[in-house]
Amino acid sequence: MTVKYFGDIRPLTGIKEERWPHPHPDLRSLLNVLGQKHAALRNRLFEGDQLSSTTIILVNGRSVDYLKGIETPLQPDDIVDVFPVEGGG
Amino acid sequence: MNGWIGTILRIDLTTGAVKKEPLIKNDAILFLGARGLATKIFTDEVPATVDPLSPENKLIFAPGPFTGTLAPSAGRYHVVAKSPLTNTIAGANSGGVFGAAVKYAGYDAIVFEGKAEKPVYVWIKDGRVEIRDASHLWGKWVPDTTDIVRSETDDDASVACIGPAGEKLVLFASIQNEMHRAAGRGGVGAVMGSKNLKAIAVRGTGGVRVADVKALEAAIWVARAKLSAHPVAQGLNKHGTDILVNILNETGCLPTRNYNDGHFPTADKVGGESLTKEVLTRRKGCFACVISCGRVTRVKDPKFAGEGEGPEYEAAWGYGPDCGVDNLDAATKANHLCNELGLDSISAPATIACAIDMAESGLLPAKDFDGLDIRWGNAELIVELTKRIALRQGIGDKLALGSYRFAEMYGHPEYSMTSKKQEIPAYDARGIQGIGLEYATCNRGGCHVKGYTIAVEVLASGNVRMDPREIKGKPALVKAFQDMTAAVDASGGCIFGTFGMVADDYAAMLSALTGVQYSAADYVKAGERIWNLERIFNLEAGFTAKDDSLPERLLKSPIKTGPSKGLVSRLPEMLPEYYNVRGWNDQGVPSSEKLHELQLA
Repeated sequence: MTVKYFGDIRPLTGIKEERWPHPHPDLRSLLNVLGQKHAALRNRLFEGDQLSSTTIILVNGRSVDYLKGIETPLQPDDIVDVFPVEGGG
Repeated sequence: MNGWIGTILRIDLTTGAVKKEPLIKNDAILFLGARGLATKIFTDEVPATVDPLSPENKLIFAPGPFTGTLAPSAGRYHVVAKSPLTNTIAGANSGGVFGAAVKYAGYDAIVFEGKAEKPVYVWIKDGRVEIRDASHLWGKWVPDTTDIVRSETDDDASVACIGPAGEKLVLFASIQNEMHRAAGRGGVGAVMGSKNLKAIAVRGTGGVRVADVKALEAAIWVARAKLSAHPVAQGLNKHGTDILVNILNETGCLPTRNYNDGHFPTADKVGGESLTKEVLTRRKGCFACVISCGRVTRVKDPKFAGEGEGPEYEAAWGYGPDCGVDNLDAATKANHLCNELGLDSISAPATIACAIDMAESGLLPAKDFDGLDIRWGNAELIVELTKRIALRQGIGDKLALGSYRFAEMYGHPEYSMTSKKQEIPAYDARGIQGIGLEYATCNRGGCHVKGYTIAVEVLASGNVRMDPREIKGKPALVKAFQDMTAAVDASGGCIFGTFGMVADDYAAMLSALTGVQYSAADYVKAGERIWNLERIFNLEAGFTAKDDSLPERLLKSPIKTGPSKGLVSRLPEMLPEYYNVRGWNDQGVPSSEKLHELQLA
């Protein structure tokens, strides 16, 4: 599994991406561990036990809004992107 | 008047006559200002069949009622003419401080008519208007022009001008104000060049009258707090619009190599995170902006060295992935050149991408390469071609006509990624259905900002979110964005304000400012009125439902790699419903009931 960080999330982890060798059954489980590894990241991932409204999570290019949200199941080869909400034009 | 100044300045460049006319209050109330008021004046006075580069075309600069006030991120102006690129109505919007200067000088709009016999510039100091010789400025680039005009007028003058591209009638030439801000799209710079009008310098020392100062202050503080606290506004300040490169790429909707694909593996090298780290020197805002998304940049690599502003997302994409290039220094340099030479930084790189695509496909004969190494990923090429286009040298003379006419010249217009002959921007409509409908139906040709559904489909910047791959509900979404944006443009706002503010906020500010009571619905209705007026002009110019289209590549050739692999645009399924929600017939013609409802009949 590959996890990538973007925008102002990237400085919170100090890395652009990381390989994540440990399988996780779903997004919640993965994000919990990522939040423990990168302490500054945790508040950007969760609001209570739900996904933060200031963060966009993609799994294989699809927003988890259109998958199963924080319960989205994960496979070992998945790519998980963590973005801040952004705008532009 | 309150909010509006009450005066239109009319300058006949053929005769040199200058007139000041009263603003028709009912027009102001119905069409607000800027894009709306300028379109009303233009469509009342100019036949839709006018040749865009003839003296009979008019060129109108108009700030909105908010422009020059403290309304947050709302200090903009609009340029309206008939476009030589698309033959539709052209509406190009710009920030900086030029719009506020026009307002403070005492005008709701400046209408240029006719054609000067020799190059001229116009110097406006409040009520005094002079048409001056500009022979010594002809051929000069934007920075020199701006500096010289200021030195001849007033150090504090705001200058809007054209570069060599506008003089030489490049069909996508821009008008640049304060050097780096662009009324970029649709070739309004070529219209200015066709009139022999090199520059407009404005110094205003007046102000804007306010109907209810306390109510306006209260409404502004509410709106300002919402916008400045919004994470999108904060993100735009931090990394600029170029932050979007990565999210579009990860979604698989970053058009790559002239829309041959939707994913570019090294896109991060030209994204906002890289820009901040490598070329950003400071952040810069337009008049009364609480976001400041502008990027002041410097490139150190001697090959591409220089200072300027940008790139925005569109230019970083255009000179980056769309040309197969991942060199941020080169993309930044090319963007600086667009500003200095006066070129639209979307159409310029997209036209270059089309030429590379044709060369790589064997459709552009090597004898026409103009001695250049035309291939994907050539960083030097994008810089060199930008210069040749603006100066109309060699192959640049043909590319100056835009990608559609260029590709058509070689018998393959299907290589042009345009709608109504204007280059479509940086969101792949095969994976994001709503934006494709916007490209196809936009009144100024292929354009994203006049109906920025990306905010809902990709960016999750508000409470409403819609799956980019679905078509259900998209026609209504596109209409809602188009109408709201027309109202924001017409009132002088920046669309980025809508990341934090809603119609209620704009209506409250506009009511307090003007003393005319607008509900949120009235405000959006003004936008719908403007959209329909633009549509009527285009229909009278000869456009039909057939022109509400996308390049065949987006409809028939699926994205090849990445997360959106296999997807195509489903435009034909959305278009009938779009016409229906607009109250238009199945040929895209507004019904008489709709026109009556909008007070357009």
